[in-house]
Amino acid sequence: MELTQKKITNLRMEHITKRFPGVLASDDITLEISEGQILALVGENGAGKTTLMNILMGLYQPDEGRILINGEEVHFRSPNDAFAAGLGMVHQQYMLVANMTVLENIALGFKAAWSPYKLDLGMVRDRITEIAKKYGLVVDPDAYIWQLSVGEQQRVELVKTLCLGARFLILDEPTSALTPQETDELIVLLKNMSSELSIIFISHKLQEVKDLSDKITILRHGAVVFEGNTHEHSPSDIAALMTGHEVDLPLNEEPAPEGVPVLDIKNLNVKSDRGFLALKDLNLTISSGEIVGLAGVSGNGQRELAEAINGLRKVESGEIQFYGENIANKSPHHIIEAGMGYIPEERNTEGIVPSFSLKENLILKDTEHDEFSNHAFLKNKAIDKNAEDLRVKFDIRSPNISIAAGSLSGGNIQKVILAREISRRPKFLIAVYPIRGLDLGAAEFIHKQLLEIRREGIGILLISEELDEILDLSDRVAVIFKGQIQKVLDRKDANRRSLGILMAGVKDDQTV
Amino acid sequence: MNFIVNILSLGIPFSVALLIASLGEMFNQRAGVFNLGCEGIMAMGAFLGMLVPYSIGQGGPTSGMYNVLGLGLAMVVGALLGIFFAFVVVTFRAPQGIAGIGLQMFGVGTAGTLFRHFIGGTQSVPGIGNFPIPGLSKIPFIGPIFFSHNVLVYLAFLFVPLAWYILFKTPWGLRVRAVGTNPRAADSIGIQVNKVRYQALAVGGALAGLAGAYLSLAQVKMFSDEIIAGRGFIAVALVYFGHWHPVKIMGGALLFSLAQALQLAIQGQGINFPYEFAVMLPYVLVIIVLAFSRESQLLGPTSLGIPFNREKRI
Amino acid sequence: MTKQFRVLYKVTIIILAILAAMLIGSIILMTIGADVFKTYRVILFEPLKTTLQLTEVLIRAIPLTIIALGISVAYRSGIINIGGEGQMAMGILGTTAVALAFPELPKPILLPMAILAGAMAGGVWGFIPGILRAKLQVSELLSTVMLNYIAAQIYTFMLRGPFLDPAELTMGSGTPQSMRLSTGIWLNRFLKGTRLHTGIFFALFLALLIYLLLWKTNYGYKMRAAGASARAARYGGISVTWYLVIAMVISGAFAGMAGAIEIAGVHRRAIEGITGGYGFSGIVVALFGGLHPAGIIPASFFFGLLIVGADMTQRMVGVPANMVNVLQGVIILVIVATKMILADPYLMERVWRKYQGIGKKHVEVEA
Repeated sequence: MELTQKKITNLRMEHITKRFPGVLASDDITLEISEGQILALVGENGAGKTTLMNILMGLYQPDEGRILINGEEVHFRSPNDAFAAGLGMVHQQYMLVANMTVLENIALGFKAAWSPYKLDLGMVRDRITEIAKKYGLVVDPDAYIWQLSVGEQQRVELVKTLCLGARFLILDEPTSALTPQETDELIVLLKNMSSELSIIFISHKLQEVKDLSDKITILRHGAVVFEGNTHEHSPSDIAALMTGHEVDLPLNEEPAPEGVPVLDIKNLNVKSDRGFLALKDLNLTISSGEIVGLAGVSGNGQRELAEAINGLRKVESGEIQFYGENIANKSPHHIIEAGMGYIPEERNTEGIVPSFSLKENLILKDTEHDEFSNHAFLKNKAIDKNAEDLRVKFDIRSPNISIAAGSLSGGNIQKVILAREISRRPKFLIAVYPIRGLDLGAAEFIHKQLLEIRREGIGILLISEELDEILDLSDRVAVIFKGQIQKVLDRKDANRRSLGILMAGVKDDQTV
Repeated sequence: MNFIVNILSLGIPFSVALLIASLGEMFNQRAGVFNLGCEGIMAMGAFLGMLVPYSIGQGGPTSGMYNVLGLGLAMVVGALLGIFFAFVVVTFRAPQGIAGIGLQMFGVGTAGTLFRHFIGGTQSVPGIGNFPIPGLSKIPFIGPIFFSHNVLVYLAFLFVPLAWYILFKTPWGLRVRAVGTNPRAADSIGIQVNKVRYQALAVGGALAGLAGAYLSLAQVKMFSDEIIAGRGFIAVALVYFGHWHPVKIMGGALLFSLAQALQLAIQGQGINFPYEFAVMLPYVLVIIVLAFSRESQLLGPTSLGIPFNREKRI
Repeated sequence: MTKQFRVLYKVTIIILAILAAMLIGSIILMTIGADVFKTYRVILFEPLKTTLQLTEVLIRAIPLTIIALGISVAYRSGIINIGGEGQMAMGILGTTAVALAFPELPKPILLPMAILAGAMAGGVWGFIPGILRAKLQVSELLSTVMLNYIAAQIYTFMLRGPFLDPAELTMGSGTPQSMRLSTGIWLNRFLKGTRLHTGIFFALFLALLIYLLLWKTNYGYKMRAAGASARAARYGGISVTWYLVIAMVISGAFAGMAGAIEIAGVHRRAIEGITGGYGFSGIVVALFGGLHPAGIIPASFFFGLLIVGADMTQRMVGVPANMVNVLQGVIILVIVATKMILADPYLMERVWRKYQGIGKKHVEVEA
């Protein structure tokens, strides 16, 4: 490729500021990294890590500030400029075109192989072989992306970035979709690569940060709150800096409840969007008054399970007994009426109708009920009162109850959903990633509410990727792997290590 | 036997307007934009294609050149209309379905307005004559079916493998497929998503213009308000039917035109069948075809209809 | 960002949008060498000059209102109905069939029956694309257009065959039209010397009905939720596909009623070309009226004005009446683009910063 082969001995971002409507995504950020170093960029979701890296890659233009490479100022107007300077990024959501082959995906950025009338795929193939040899990254150039597993796709991303001449790697949460084992492999690989490349690595998993990085920069609310050498700080120091104060979310410390089984899933088979079985003969029983945490790397069937229980996805075979009734393949309406509450994963697009007002969203599931309608005509006064009451009770911060729900912040949207689901007095609640991306205050509030309704005898299925959340709240923990429940542990037996082993697909107490 | 030869030799030239327009629409959709305004662009193409030979070259000895000029003008204006559409749906990210209807009304309305002013009435042009390929056209059966048509018929069918090559074997085709499937990925790797979409819409518009001009210059040899008769919409449907693949799209275009030829042939045989029901047949066929051709998600442009916005954070 | 700036920003964009629409129209007018200002003046003001012309505008506004109401119900429920033209034609056939079958029935029975028949025929024609979309994911954009062509052929077939006026047969003039319908379905013309008929009150009544349906009942709530976010509606237990079909049936039924009212009030027999593009204009009216009855009523008056005005340009400035289609197309494009611009907070923020920058410079210069 026609790129400068000059080494990047030093890269510096100075006083970077970027605003989005209503959000200061980057606030006067300065950071620096030298040759052969691995810098961990750490922070909660929404702290501005990805935005900062997108600025470095020329995807966003900063409103203020500048970027220097080897002491010289550079201007990246598009990713092409960043590639030309030797930068490459592996995004959190893999940037691959599913209906094209690995070869074509790499050719897409490989401009040397382009002539107006012909695409020189042979040249791209040679380059892939070269890179594969050099770094020990094996990929099949002729496989279609949609045929590959998540781990394989990540390898393709790495190969792609390296083929395009990157001598400076940016990795955005590279392990978020990997099993612990795949994560270990990746960390070894990156460590080896760091002898030739500089790496910036975004994460909020503290163990990886400790294992891999030399330097650490912590962002909070778009600003740098800490910089230092990794080996000088313990994970708990880092956690405290990341969140602003010591992590002290509410804990479930009560004795195990003595409820009766209310949700009993037997031999459940459900297909994914792509048509293969996402749940295979899954069995799980949850009693009233207990919180069962479902731990697992995302993509192992969690979404399909939540949707199948709520009637939003077809059940191929099996039963879902809910208070003595099989609700498999019943309509969402029927299941809601049977007493199911559901906090969905996609809060902005599924949990609310974004263009509807706050008060309208609070009656989404109850427009037919006498409380809010009289012979099909809506009772406006009752709807207003309901909204005013819930706004106070659930601390929903909004100027009024007529504002479009989609214009609220993520935390407030989640409170709207929670308010609606809890105030309907469900018999059971399914909560999927309930605090993902929320600030600590909102997270604390939501966890308190979940514990509160548990005390009232409502069973909860808590689906989360965050082991801390699961360990904090659950009475029992079920681990899901490839569409099956690996094992169900009591709270006292569950810890990060035991869950991690199960999440990787190792059953029973085999040694890893 | 003669009957079959008749149908085939009639049906093949009928398919050309559909074929060209739907190949153009294929490029649009592969890039992630579906252009329902195809009908309107075709109407403009039909009017402009005829305008040139009608107004400056009426029947003269060099009318062939004027026909070429007419086709060229139709393509240029078609491309401009495609770019105008891109301005609305790519730059401003307007919803494509309803915007396409706007473009269709604009195109059909403008063609009708200009037609009444510049031509008026039912005027015909000599148009593009048949060009039987020497030798080949004399082969029994095969000759009349495949080698006795006007030049555009041959070119249109040659364009099928060419479109395949462009889409699957050139860097531009690669870019088009990428921006229609995963624009974020294309963007992250330095491809200007909106620029590629503009280009694809310009190409699609030029081809729709050409398809319209084919109707007025080679098939009907005159212009009327109803000349396109929904072919633009059928072309859009054919792209779904053909799963965004040039060869399958060609199959669809032939299926439709042969059905139409069959209908005409049956009428010609004097079989008593209400004319109106024969005319509605292709439209019924479109609905049936759409009902039974589910999109295969894995191979098609999965971002079809979704405007690209880099700064829209998920 | 100040409130003052927000208002200024929105008003500026709307003014620019109007100018853009008029400019594109002007380009076409200049191409045919027409006097641009005079043409716009004729279209926009000439029809308002006499009572007769004004009532003609209102007569056009009646079917436009009814069709646009139906289209807005569909649009709000997440399905775009381009089949108004075909649904209206089918409605006319339904009404005609009833009127021809029971000419002797008294008006209080026949008229409602005939309108109902029109609504049902249109409703069936709306049900087909609705169910195809709900069950087989067939794009309604394509299926409704195809059904327009199919309905047009059925319409011609009926007028040339079963419904053909016996007088045409004996006289042999061959105009495909039905005989004059029984007076039992005639709507009163209440303004002497004009064709303005009581259908106008019916249209206003339907507007009220749609307002109540969409904003005051739980059915309307569910339809709007299904249209605003199908995923959230499904999550909320609303059967999105069911309401999609219902919305299309209502939409078709309204177009059918528009047809029924049109022949009962204006033509009093089924003739060719009666739908005259109302189905397409209805889309523009619905969008222009903000998909709300309170906006649709003035919008249909405005487009009635354009249609009558465009008829007059032919005579007065030599501009073909097709010009109205050009304007309608441009207006759709401009509306959908403008909506997106107004809804883009990023753009507004960028303009705001520029605006602030200008402000700062002024301050500096003054200082």
